Amino acid sequence: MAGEEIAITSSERIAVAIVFTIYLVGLLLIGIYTRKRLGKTVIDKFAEEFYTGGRLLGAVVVAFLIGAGLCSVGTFVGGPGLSWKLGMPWATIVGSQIFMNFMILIGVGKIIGIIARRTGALSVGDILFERYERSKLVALAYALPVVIFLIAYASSQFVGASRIFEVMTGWSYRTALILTGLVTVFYATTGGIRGVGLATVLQGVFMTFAAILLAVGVFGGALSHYGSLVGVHNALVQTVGQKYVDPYALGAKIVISWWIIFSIGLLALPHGLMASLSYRDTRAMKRAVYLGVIVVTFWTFVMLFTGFFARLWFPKLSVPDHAVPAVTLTVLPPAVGGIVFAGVVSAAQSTIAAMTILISSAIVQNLYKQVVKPDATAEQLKTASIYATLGVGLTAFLLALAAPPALEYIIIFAIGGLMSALFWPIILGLLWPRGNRYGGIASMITGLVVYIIAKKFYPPMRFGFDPVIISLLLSLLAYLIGTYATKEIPSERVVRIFWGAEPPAEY
Amino acid sequence: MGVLEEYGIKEDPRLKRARKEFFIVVSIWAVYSIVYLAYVFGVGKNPNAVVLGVPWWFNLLWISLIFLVIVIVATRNLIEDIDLSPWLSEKKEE
Repeated sequence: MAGEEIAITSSERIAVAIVFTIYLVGLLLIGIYTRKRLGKTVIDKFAEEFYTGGRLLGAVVVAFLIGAGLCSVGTFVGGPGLSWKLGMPWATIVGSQIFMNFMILIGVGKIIGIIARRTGALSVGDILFERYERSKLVALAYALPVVIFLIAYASSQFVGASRIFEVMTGWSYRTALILTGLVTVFYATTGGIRGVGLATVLQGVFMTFAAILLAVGVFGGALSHYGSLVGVHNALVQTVGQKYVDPYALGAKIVISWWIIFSIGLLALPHGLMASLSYRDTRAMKRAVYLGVIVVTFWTFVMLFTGFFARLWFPKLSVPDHAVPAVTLTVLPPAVGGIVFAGVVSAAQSTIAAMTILISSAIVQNLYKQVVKPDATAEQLKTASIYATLGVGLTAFLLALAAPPALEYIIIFAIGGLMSALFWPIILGLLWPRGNRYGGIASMITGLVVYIIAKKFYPPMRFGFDPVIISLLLSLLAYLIGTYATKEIPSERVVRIFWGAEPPAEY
Repeated sequence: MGVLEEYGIKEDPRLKRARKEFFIVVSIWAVYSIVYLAYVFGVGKNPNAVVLGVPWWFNLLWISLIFLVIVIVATRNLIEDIDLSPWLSEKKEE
């Protein structure tokens, strides 16, 4: 049953390419449809429609915006690759992410939903700006890391998707990138969050079909060959070794660190929180939780077991990320494999598109409107929104095309850095009325700086944990010190908006 | 004295409830984390253990599915539907 590398026939490649082309045409049609809808929006409401869908998004779109937006190439390619490489220690960790819709929407979604309607916030950055006394420093401290890190991260998703595309179709990396990249930039720019949301529904459907097909192919193939799960377990131990099924192999500290990062840490990722600003009402929000937790649990466990079982077919792979395409092309017929492939690329595109909208909002709302030009007109904001989205998408695309050496360096810090910088300013900003702007700014800067030092320059300060853990602890300390040392009480205006039943006088 | 009392601000009951719900979420997450990780590092001490007729690791799926049901039931029964209008006082005036 064991092979070494992926072998694809030309007919398989054609079948995969045909299915994928159908998927891309679907995305283009969504872009055209949402462009028409956005074109009918009155100018004063354009930015709200573009970034939040007019706060009228339904349950399915919201569920997939979070699920597909956060379950990126990591869940569909990188995660199974790590499962293939590390076995059970990685498999242990991924169980942490399955309730992301619940954590985000029920955890903070309702608070953000009310406050966004009070302040007209179009992004998490706007919420932070309002909470911390409209401080331009907060706007900058939020927007700059979001723009720098997430553009780099989005480009890494382009690279990941295009590499898989290259492997499964035999087309060149450049062709793959142009096809996956430009389509994503098109529907994000023409449709805003609604275009991205509708596309994520289509992508979520492909991701779900991909997971169903893989579940049938992988479990069916493994069980028919080894008779039972115990037989599969014994075969894995025999093929890879005892460490593959030993949860202690990575060390409990790392497993617990990653558990925290992939679960409660998600509350600090602005592209995950974006849906909290967009849902129509709390009924839609709750339905998005039901649907989201079911599909994310399904995706997570199927992809985890796909990578874990992949060792049965491929004990050796030069690139662990090839585990999913390799197994797909082994256990499934080519046309069906095309659906899995579209699902994998969907995972990347949905994340890139969500990030593109988020970064665009950070540029337009937090840098342009709050720092550079507070008196910007609705027309100027409309133009800025479209060009910023186009510019962000194209920048990520060009970075993926050129792949400069510095890119890898930035990507290392992307998600962990944002989490470290934003977790406490968001959570304590929403829950603790005493927290002030100095605490928020100190926490943002400390979290980011400590993360970079612990990650790259002085690993002993991690004490065996992931650097996010120590940076979260120190950024909490910085928040408390910044708040108590400066003795500033948040203004009445802020407290009324974030806690009060009545609006402030100057509202 | 708290900040709200200092300004004489009455807390919006919807926001008060939403903040309680945050702690419901964290509590469920904490229990799930403890059960899941205790199973992994307890039963997983013997990496070849067979539990309920399957390798120990496969039962992680069942643990997650049980909590999936708990999350859905909690969302349905403990999380209140609320009006999202910015200010309830304005709503009453309308």
